[in-house]
Amino acid sequence: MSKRVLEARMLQLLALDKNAYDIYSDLTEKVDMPTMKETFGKIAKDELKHVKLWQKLLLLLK
Amino acid sequence: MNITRRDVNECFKIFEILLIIIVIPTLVFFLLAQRWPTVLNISYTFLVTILVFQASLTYLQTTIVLKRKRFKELSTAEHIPLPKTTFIVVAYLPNEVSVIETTLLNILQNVQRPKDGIEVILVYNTPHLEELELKLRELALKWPELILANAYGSHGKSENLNYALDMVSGKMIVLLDADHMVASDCLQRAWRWLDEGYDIVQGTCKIRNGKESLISRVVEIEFETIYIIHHAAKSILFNSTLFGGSNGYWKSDVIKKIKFDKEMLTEDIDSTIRALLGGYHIVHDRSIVSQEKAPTTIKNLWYQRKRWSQGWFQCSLKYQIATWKNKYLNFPQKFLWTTLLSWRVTYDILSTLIFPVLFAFWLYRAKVELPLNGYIIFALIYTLFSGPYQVIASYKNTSIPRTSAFWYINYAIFVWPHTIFKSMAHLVAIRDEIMGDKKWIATTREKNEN
Repeated sequence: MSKRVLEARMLQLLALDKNAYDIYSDLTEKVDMPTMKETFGKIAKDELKHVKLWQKLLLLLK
Repeated sequence: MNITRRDVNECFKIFEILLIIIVIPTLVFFLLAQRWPTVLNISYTFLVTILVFQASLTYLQTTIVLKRKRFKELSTAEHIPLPKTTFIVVAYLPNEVSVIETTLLNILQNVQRPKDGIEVILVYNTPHLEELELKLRELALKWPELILANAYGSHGKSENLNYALDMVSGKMIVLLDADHMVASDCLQRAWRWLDEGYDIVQGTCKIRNGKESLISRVVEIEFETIYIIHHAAKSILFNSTLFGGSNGYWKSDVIKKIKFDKEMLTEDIDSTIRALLGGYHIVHDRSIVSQEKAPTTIKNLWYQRKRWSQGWFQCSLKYQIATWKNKYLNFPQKFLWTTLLSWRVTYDILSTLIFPVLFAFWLYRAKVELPLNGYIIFALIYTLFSGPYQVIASYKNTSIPRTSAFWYINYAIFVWPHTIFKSMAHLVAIRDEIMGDKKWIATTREKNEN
């Protein structure tokens, strides 16, 4: 796999994880049930970790 | 045609404007004429002179671009190779479902790539999962360059664009609407300007669905005159022009600084002015062609033009004084941006007042006749022929495929009703802005879109 294709795939996944983070963050704010709120909050934090990981990996690739 | 409550409200607004700008002034002028008869002649001559001035600008701009000019490299060219470029394509689903796949495939399959490649960010918002989204994911699997960015929570184009800007990795950014089909050599053509020191390049937008209706055909020719004549002339005469919202090529670092303001109805004009005020340079290259779709019904055209006008009016209020004070703009550029901002608003109102003056004259004389003298006859011929002159020049310089000359002749004859239509849209837009009605209505280009 070429470096260019690898970078492109990583950017695709970064966008998907960012989108997931956006949705989970929004759900965390909007749902009323405490259990759901807590769960969505944890998932949002996970997604944010993924986003930051992708950003680090992309920097490494450069 | 599906008539909604909103459409009925628009009709009431038009009646409101006709009352304020035609009926009441007619009575005012008539009453003034009872006391001071010369008021009518003086007003008429003054307003005709305004039309002559505006027509003169048209003649000047048209003459400047009558002859095709070849690109000549400036001494400031650095000869940096074409860098990795990002295409940002903005889409509203489900509105633009029918066009988005074609647009993306055109870029992915046809655009000549730089050595470091391209990325294509499709930034969109959708109220629910669309069948197209699943199809787009298959496309992204096939094309690693395609990034799908669902701008969750976004309510408009500006927010979508800002969302995408945070993801960009290219050194040059191309901004496209969902229906834009770019030419395969667009990147090389745009980069040669950025390499010379410009920061933004605006290409020509050509209408590709002219055949669908009379409205789209009129808009097709109108766009030829706008891009082939007006934007190109501004760039040549004043070394200043504008980013029109699509088929624009920006240096990455510049657009990331400027970004887009979601409060403005025309985020493209707003970003243009902020870029100019910040000392950045814009050029128009009419050889960089992309094709887009025009509204096909008078209703859709009305809403589109009204939004544009209201956005321009917002920019006039916000930035006119700043352009006069700005240290980066020279005097000719300040003149240009005065004609585009506050003069545009003034002209829309003053040019319409010619009708109440004429009607008051008819009431005063108790007969329908055109007040004529040598100057008025000259002005009439001078202004009437500015439109056809412009149309001839745009026909001469248009890119292939060229529409039949019949439609250009048709437009030259009917440019006046179209101008009056646009003037009415401008006035209603001013009214809406003053009344605080700033609803952003996306342009629909298909007859059955709503």
